Amino acid sequence: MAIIATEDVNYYYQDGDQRRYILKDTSISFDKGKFYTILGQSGSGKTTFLSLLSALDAPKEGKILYQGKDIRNIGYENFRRNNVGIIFQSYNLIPYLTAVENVMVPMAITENKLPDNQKEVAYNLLDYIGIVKSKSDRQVNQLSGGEQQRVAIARALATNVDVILADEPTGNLDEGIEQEIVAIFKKLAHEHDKCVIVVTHSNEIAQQSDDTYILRKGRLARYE
Amino acid sequence: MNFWKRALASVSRRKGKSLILFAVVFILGNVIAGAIAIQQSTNNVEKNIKKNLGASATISIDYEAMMNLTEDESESAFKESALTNLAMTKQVGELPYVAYFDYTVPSYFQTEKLKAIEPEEEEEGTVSYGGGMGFTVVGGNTEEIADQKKGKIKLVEGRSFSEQELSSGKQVGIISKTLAEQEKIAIGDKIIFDRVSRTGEEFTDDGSIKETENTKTFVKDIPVEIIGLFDVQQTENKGKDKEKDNQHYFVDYNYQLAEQKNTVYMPNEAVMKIEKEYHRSLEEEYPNFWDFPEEEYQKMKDEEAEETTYYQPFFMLKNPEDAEAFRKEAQALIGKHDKVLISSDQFESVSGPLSGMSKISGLVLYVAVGASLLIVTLVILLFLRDRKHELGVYLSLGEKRVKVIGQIVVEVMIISLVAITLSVFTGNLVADGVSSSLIASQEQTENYEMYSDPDFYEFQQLGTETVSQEDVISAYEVKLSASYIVTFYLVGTATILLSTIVPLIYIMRLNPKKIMM
Repeated sequence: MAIIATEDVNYYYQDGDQRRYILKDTSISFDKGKFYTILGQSGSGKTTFLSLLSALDAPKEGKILYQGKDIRNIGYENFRRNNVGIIFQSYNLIPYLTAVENVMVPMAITENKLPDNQKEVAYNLLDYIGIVKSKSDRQVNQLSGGEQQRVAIARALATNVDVILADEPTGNLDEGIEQEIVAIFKKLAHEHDKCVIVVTHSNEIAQQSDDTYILRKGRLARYE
Repeated sequence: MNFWKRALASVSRRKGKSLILFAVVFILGNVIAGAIAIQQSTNNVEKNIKKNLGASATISIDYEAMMNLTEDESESAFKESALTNLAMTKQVGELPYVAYFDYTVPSYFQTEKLKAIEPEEEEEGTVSYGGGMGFTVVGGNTEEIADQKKGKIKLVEGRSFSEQELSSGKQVGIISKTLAEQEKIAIGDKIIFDRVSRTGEEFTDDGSIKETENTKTFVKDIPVEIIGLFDVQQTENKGKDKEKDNQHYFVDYNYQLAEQKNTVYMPNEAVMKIEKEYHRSLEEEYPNFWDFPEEEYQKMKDEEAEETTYYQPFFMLKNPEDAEAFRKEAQALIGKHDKVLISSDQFESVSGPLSGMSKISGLVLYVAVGASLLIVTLVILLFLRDRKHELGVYLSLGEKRVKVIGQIVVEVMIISLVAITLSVFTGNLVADGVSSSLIASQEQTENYEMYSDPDFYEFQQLGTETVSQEDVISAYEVKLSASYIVTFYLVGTATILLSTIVPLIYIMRLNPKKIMM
């Protein structure tokens, strides 16, 4: 069974009597252990699609299913808290907290069962994605862009969720760093059985993913 | 990293913003604390002075109202007064607020052979009382003398009146020990008050009184058996505390003290009998002794036939807090031109500088709370707008809004509580400084003279301490009382919590998608 799927999802803006569709009859499923990319031009609706998958917004019609269950029934807030990790283009870390404290924020929010030694887990996560301990104790505004995005990835992983969603995660990063981040995503999918869905406009990232979908005129299609 | 830890980290690591909020709350907190401290201090003065003044009451003629009446109206007002109608006094005495009530029949014996105590003269040539002192006669109705109950006097030798003496009107008396010592009077002695009435004298240029050919003198000996001696209690103690350089006070104080030592307590019945007999004898020997115009004299004679007796009532209330309820109910039972005087009324007359300050501080309190609500709301709101992304992160991570709100409230409260705690002390100092200058400025504009109060005599008869503006001002003290601290914390924290309402509505309306994507 797909870990997360959309079923006949429509999303539109009402403009008088007219509906301007961003997503139309979208049905797609995503599995664990795979690294997906969603391609599309600016304004094509990629971010809207990701916001629906991450329960930051609700579809006008249709369903988002998590392990076959409508996330409406799970509760959007609950779903975000326990089932999904989100990575944003502009990192969105808490500036006055250290890297390790940022990773520990969702640990205090989630209801998922986590090990007691949360700080150690957070250090390990940061270490795993390439942030050494000395940097983990720095306030995040003292870290580089690439390092901040790694911290954001560690934060998305902190609650031990199965689905990682990323919105243009390398948009603000240099090419070299971009590759390192992509490598992390691949590792998460293939070695840790996560479902990683990355929204991007970069063909290079798309080429490295297991499956790529393209969003055009509200329709999501497989990109071969 | 739960919301408590995040709040602590935010407060300690975002120092600049914490400091700005701290400064705002601290400054406004000082104004609020100062206003509360002044209010509390003025209330304490009122409470303490009123407590000291006690809860005793009497009935007096409303002299101010009487001034607007014609002569006939004044006479009928007096006849309808509770002071001449014992039944009215008794009705008032039966009100539930009254612990006990009493009444005395007053009189005054001016004597020549028996010497009264003269007031002590502090500095030669500065005190002149115009004529010698006489004896104030206070009728009693109970075995325990009313002034004993009020604590004005203490029986130090002998005994008080017996039931039989009270009902028969036997001419027995209790005098001051000072008078007894001066006149060498012992318990059991029968002394003679040579009560004198004199008319037709003239004042000479040097201020002394000279007899003329028109002078009429009537003397009647009133024998009184002395059964007890008393010592004056309160006034003496109070006098010692008074500043000696307050000449006006000292003259009045010495006169008042001498008057108390010249008081003779007798049964009411005896006083009434003596008065009646004295006036009858006077009239017999000298018809129209005071040389009234014929018409007026006739009228007075008719009135005397009605045997009007003047009663001075005294009510001890159960609880000082019942004073106003007692006044309201008693006023309905007494004469139209009578008024109820309660010992604590004196405070209203002398509290001018404090009540002015209390009003100002009350106003400042409302304005400061209003300004705090507005300013703190705006400061928090501005800071929250800066933290929109942070709040969006919490919401996108699935944090409950109530916890996001909780973090902001905890942050604001940590900073505010520190500022409020410091303001408790500094606000107190501010209040002290401000109130000193406010009192000084108010004192200059208020010139109340307690001794010129038309009801001063009645207040004295209530047996309570008399208060002056100086007493009130010296009793004023800004201090760190528990009630001040509790009130300030309550007002301060309530103001801060109310200030967070609008910012919290802002958080409630945040949409994480719009912020984050």
